Amino acid sequence: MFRVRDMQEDVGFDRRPQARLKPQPNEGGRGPDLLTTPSDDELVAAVAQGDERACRMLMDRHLTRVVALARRMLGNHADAEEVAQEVFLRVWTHAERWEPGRAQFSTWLHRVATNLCLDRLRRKGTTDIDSIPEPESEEPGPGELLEQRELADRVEEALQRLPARQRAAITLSHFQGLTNIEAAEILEVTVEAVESLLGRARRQLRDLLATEKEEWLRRTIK
Amino acid sequence: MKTMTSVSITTQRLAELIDAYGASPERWPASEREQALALLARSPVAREQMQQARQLDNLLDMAPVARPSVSLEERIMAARPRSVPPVKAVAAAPARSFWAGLMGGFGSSRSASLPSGMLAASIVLGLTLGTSVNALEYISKGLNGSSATTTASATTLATTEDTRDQFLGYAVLDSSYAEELIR
Repeated sequence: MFRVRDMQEDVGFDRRPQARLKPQPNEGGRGPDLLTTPSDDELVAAVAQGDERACRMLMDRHLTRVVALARRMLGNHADAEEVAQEVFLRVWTHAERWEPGRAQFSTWLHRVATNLCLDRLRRKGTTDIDSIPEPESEEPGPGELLEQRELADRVEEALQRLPARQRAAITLSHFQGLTNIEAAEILEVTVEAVESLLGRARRQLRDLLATEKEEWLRRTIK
Repeated sequence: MKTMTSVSITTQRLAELIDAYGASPERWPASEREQALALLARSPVAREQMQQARQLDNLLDMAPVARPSVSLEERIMAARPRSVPPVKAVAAAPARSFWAGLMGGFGSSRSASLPSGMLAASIVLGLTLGTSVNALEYISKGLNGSSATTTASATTLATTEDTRDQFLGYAVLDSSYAEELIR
């Protein structure tokens, strides 16, 4: 089914089938000049011409952030890597229709990744949130400190207990470091709506992580 | 969007910013950041709220950091676009008729063109049969109708069994056929 979001993921792409990007300044289809730092737009143009180095540079530049986003959204690494792979397959497929300057490539990349994650969560239904186990009920004993790994797991569990769009908002803003305007563009809502999602997410996280916060404070003071 | 570049923001608004974006001013909306920081310097209440928000920020930063695996990188690179080979292969392809091309892939390579080709053929066949029936119905009407011209044309058509001729006759009658339908 065609959705508005599908169309908006095309922002930045020239939908005309005959259109081609301008050739790169360097000759012979050898990709962008790697002595200077090429822009994303330049790399995408070289990717469209099958330039292997450009493909690798673009992947090296963005893959870690895409995997991180998907991991925050989905809560497990295997699913996150599947989403990241799908994101880059779309980059490879659509590279020749990319229009430099029309949209920011990294924002588009976040939009595709976020939407793929939300689609996965939607397919799983609401049970994905309810099925997430509560953090272990046994409280650490007096003086007992949580191990760093355990604390990290509890934070991730708390994130997974958030409604999907609140999780997306806190992921984009806090973890990915995007501006409120970029987050609003990616989530296709107003800036005010992003702010509302963020406020609710942080309040819920504060409640979910009250115990962990005390533990963390004890650790840092000690 | 709440743009307050020329008006000092309120303590309420500052509290909203901290509540939503946390304790790092770089996450606050750029249009309000400067005013918010100025107010923060004057507000002990806001600084206390900042302290609470910073604790949550630090806790969130402890969430596991995911790194892409080498195998993921390999899969992505394996699927990368390749340089387009010369087009001579296309020119060297043996010429085949439409039907040979359509049926040629059926037994051998399950060509993707087969379903679409068969669909197109079905549509053409359906249209042919459908319009032929309509034409013949019209002809029979014409034989009993009031227009002498129509009757003459239809009689000519009725005497031939050639489908192509039926189409030619139908095209001649086409303009009056629409009027017939309206009536």
